[in-house]
Amino acid sequence: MAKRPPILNRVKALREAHDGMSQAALAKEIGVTRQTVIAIEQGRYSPSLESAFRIARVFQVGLEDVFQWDDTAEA
Amino acid sequence: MSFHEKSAWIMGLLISLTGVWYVSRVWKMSEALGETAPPTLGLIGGATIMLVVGAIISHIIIASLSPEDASDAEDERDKQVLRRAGNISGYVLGFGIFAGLWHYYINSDGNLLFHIAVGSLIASQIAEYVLTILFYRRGA
Repeated sequence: MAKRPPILNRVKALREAHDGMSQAALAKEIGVTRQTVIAIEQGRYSPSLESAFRIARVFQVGLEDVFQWDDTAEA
Repeated sequence: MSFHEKSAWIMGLLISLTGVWYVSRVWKMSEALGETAPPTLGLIGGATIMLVVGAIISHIIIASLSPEDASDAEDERDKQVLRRAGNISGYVLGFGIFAGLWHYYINSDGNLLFHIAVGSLIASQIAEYVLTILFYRRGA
């Protein structure tokens, strides 16, 4: 079974705070498919560094405001 | 469900059916002959036509049901999933061919070597589609 990446994210919260931006709109902004945005939000996929920066730029926040290392997952 | 995942489900099913058909035909022919049946153009052509026609029809259907998904280009996650699934399925193919070659070295049955190679190809493709689905669902 694939291990979940030890990275938490606030993509869904930021998207909803961003005038309820749709997953499809975010996907288009960062150049991935809607299914990939869903996988990121559900923590099933860690985006590339480039896509992570693109997401942060869409929401005009820093990278660590979007993605955080999950210390509890290391145990 | 992404277009690639739908495609993996359909192709996995199609190639499994083709594999079952191929093995059952070879088995019956071999039983009738009393030795491993030689590969025939009808057998290989039949399997190829079944697979190609089935793939074209099924992909037209899934593309028409969700044209937006079908027109999406592969993104970074798709590439990662497909690369990992393809990488592991390559080992399945390699193992099968290696086993077939050893079998040929010991028994000198070229017909069986051919069928083992075809079977390995089918098994590796099934593995690739199963892993693609698994990686899409659980993460690569």
